[in-house]
Amino acid sequence: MWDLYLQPIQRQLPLWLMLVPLLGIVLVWLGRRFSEAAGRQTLFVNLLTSVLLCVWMVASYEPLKPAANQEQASFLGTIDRFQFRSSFSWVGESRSETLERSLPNGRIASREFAIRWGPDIRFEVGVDGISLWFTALSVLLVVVTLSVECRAESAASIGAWLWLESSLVGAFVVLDVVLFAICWMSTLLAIAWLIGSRGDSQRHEAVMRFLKPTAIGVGLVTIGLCGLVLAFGWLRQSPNRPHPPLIFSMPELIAGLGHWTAGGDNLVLWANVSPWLFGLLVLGFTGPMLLAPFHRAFVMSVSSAPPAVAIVLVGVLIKVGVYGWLRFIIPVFPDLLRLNTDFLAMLIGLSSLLAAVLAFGQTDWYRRVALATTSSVGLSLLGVMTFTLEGMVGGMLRMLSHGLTAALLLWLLPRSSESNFSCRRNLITPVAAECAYERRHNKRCRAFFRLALFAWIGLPGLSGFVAEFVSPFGLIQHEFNLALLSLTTSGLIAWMWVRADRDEPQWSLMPWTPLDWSVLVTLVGLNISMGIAPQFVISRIEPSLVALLPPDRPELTAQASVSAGFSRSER
Amino acid sequence: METLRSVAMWVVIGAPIIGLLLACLSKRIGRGLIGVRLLVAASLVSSLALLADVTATRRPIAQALGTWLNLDAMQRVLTISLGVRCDGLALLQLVWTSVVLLIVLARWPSRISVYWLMLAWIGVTAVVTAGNLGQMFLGWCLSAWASSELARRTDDSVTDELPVFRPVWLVQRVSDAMLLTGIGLVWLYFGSLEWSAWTADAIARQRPELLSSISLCVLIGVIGRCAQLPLSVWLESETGFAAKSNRSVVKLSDEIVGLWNVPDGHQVAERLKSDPAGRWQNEDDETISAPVMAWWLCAAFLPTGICVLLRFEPLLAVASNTKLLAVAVGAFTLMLCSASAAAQNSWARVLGQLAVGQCGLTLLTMNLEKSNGSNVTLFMLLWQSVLFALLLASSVTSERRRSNAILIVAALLLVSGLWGRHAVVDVLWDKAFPAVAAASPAMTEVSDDNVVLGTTSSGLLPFVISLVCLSELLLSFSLFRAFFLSRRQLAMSSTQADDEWPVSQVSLWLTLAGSVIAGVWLGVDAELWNQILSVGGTATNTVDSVTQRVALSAGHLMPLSAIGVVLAWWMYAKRSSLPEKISAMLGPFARLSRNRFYWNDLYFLLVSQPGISLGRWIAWLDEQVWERGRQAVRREIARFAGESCEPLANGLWPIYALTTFSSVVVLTWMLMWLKSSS
Repeated sequence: MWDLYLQPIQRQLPLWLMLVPLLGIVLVWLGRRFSEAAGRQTLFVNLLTSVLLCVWMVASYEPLKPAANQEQASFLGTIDRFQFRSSFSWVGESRSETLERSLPNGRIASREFAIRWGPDIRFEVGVDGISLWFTALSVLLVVVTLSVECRAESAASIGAWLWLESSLVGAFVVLDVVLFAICWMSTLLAIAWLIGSRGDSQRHEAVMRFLKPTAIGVGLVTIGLCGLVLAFGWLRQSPNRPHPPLIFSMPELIAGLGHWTAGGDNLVLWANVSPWLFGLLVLGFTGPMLLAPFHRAFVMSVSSAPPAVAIVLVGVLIKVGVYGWLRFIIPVFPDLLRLNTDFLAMLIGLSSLLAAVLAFGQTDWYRRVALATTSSVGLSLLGVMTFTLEGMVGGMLRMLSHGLTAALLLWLLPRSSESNFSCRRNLITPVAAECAYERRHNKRCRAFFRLALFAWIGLPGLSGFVAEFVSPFGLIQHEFNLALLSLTTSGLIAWMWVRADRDEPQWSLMPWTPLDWSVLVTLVGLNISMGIAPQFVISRIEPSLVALLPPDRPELTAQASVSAGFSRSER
Repeated sequence: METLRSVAMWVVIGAPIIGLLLACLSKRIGRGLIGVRLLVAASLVSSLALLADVTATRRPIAQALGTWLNLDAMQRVLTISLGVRCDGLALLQLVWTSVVLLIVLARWPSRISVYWLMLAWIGVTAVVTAGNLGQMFLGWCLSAWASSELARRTDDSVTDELPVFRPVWLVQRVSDAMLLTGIGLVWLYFGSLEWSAWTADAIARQRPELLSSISLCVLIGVIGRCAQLPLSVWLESETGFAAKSNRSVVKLSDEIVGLWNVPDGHQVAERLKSDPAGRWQNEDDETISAPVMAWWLCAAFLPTGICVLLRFEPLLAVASNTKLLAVAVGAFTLMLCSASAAAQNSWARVLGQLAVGQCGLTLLTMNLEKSNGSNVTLFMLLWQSVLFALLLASSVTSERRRSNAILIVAALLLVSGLWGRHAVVDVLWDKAFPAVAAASPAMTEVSDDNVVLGTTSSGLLPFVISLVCLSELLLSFSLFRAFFLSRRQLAMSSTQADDEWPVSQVSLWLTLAGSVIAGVWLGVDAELWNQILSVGGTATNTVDSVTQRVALSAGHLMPLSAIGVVLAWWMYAKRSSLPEKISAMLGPFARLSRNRFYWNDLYFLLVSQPGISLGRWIAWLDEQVWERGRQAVRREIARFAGESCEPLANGLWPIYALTTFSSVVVLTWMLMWLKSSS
């Protein structure tokens, strides 16, 4: 049974994670044709399947798995970083081409190869230690919010939610640059649709304001990535191979660029092109993070969005930009980044500080969360930009911790608009027991809420502490003043939450269902688990991040040889 | 023997964790409290046994528990392993923590859960027994957080509505951040977080500025932890020292953590208005119970901070500027806290100020000399901590009538200064007046140049001595003043005592007797005391020939203590107009002292208010100026673009064609340019 059914699934877990929600759209639609309950049950089964697949993927991922064969080892490194890879041809064709080579005796040897011709765009998916946790966070947050909010959703909304899940997972697991841009854009459109259809009275303006910078960002990233593909093609031009195929596969593209930009005949081209591409990608990935002072679109979107959408927006979508930094900017442009890192880091650091200060002046909880999120994402990016393992791990942990914490916080916050809870209004407790119930319920809400604040601030035993602890080690290595700036920002955020805690929200009186409880227990449990045993997460992230470190560090000598095989196969 | 050692070790590790589980299981501690007391007693016995063992074998005991975090970047490895490392200093702290915990539990209100207390105990144990800086920091933060939560949980009148966060925690975060920075620097330059990283060779290889920076970061961390000025706000706020008439700490607390900003008529506002604690009016009340204060002052904060500083002593020893700062902070805190204590009107306030002041004395003497008196200083800190804890526990109002005797005995013992204070002051005295000290053959070595104040400015020592003398007088005066005042208040009140007094009374007496016996034993046998502290190497640097002095001794300041007691008796034993007359005579000094030198107002003006105002102002700027300006610019651009592009909107085909053609030309040019660059 394992060989026949389960192993094929295990080999293609990211693919299934993308496909299951898409299948769910059809199945839920069919289910709802029978009855509302059947549709809901189908949705639950679908969500449960996604969760199980995700857990399976996290458990099966082997961070130190050796490369499957010599070719792969010489091509992408001795560690099989991208696992569960599936690849299907999409755009492009195979042609036979003759490769001629001069032999030492003066003769010319020619050989025919079947090679790709033109653009080699593939439907390729797979995960490494970085995308693994982003994927897990995406699945968790979408499933958690949708499982609770589904009762209020129409068929179209549920379809949009499942579409969102699929494209969000896709943005992290796809290994093709075209597909990445498509998935990211698709995610933004799904979110925009959900905000526009179910947000508050400001939703239309919010959608437009959110879409503009993010869509421009995606556009710039698309141009930048296409530029990378073209540049890589030009870099590989040789008399033997005047028209090399355009490679869109991320691992090959990144590893290849790493090699070809280290030396070769076409470096002048790279020297001219790379600053432009670097600028495009930096703008494209940083813009959609909506850091201060360009935060208003984000703040408005979070305030106007339905709670479930706000959770996904704050918890994971805003971090796609940081993922882009880790995936493209750091491995492809290490020299340019190091050249500009002081300037960029100072900008990002000041932006985080500004967001933290701005959060002080807010009285609305959603705005506070949005601004604190902006600040936190900025700090994560700051850690990533340090080019140190500690900084990068700290940045990643901060993002994961923030995702769990912000989700818990937003999940507990009441909404001003009653319509968001109309589905559960009939469950309100009878008047006679209201007082006792209210007291008990408020106490519970407060306890979970404060736990979320504790985790955000970074208290021991909770997920935030690990990030707050590890990040400064990287920042201090990079620049002491930056570490102080980061600590000051964290301190201000802590002060802001301390102040905010006195302005207790008016808790919703809707009783918690078993499903609500399961959501809370999951989020709290993961938060505590990450605080107590962070090594489980770190051990999976670490090898992938080590591969991103600049090559002057000894641990990256392996990385320098990564693309040796590439050159051999090309030449 | 090995088995017994292992059992004792596991008891030390497991007792706080089991205590926490016990607290979780029994929601409201009834019988569970007995179980917790037994656990603490077991931990005390185990710690004592281990202490005897390591003193005899002169080898520390270690037990690894696993790795919490490991980042291996090959160049530098960041590993935080969890475990227990019991050297002399650690075991001594464990013993003291257990003793204080027993005192705290003797007076613990039965309706309050000990959950947070147990969590704080775990934190303190983690700090004390840490083998590396990472675990120490973990425990450091945990104990501060859990202890601050404790304040909320012990509030009798308000439990649900009281905000969870407290200024104590905020100030602790400042301390945490600085300590973490220091730890980061240690890791970066010494390559490891183990205590053993800073060997003499490793220190000698580093730049002096770096060592000063690390020491400064650690010192600021400890200053925050030990409530030394200027980071003493948490203690002031939490213990309700503020004068109610002005805008001192009373409002500072609210300003720091934010006022309730719910509108009138709102449900929360109505609830707050009906709050019997009157928090709606921002009035401060003494909500922190004495056992919690005892825990804070005597186990969780002050000794922990000082002992961490002691672990960093090899680094501090070569950072003379940092040591000078420590001396200044210590002297400043000692003087101001002692003066403030003399003007406060309750036991809790007086004891809180005095405890912090004495911590300042510890800081001062630890850092004053090249060959310092750390061992005697530590003796003083720990024994005085127990006495402070006993006094705080005995001063509980409901038990006050029955605890008069223990209160006066503990106060006398504290005032006497026999438990190391006189010995500590003698170290300073000998340093300041070497000619006098030279008469004593044992003191000939103390004429070394002073590493902190330098040879040229060692004349400052008499000034420090005069501060210490004055604070000694104020200590005894304020302690007995508080005693006489509380006795007068007691005569007027009609507070009923609980019925279960014998158990707590007996345990307090037993603790006092045990501490006195242990103090006499170790105070007289200086060699044994030094031997305990030298086990494990951490405190080796603190042992020196100068401090082979008997800790338990009377000194030059004894008459000053007696004068303070007599003054207090003369002024406060009976109701008289003398205090008012003296207060009027002192004029502004009395007012300064009553208001704790307006330190908190300064905090409000310099930190709190600017921070909040800046936040509000920038938020206003963001919403009113930046956003509106942006919208205005956008409108203008749209209007201009709309007018310019009007032909496009009118459907003029040449314009479309021209635009498309230009775009193609630009793109083609770009591609050709890129191609030609290759």
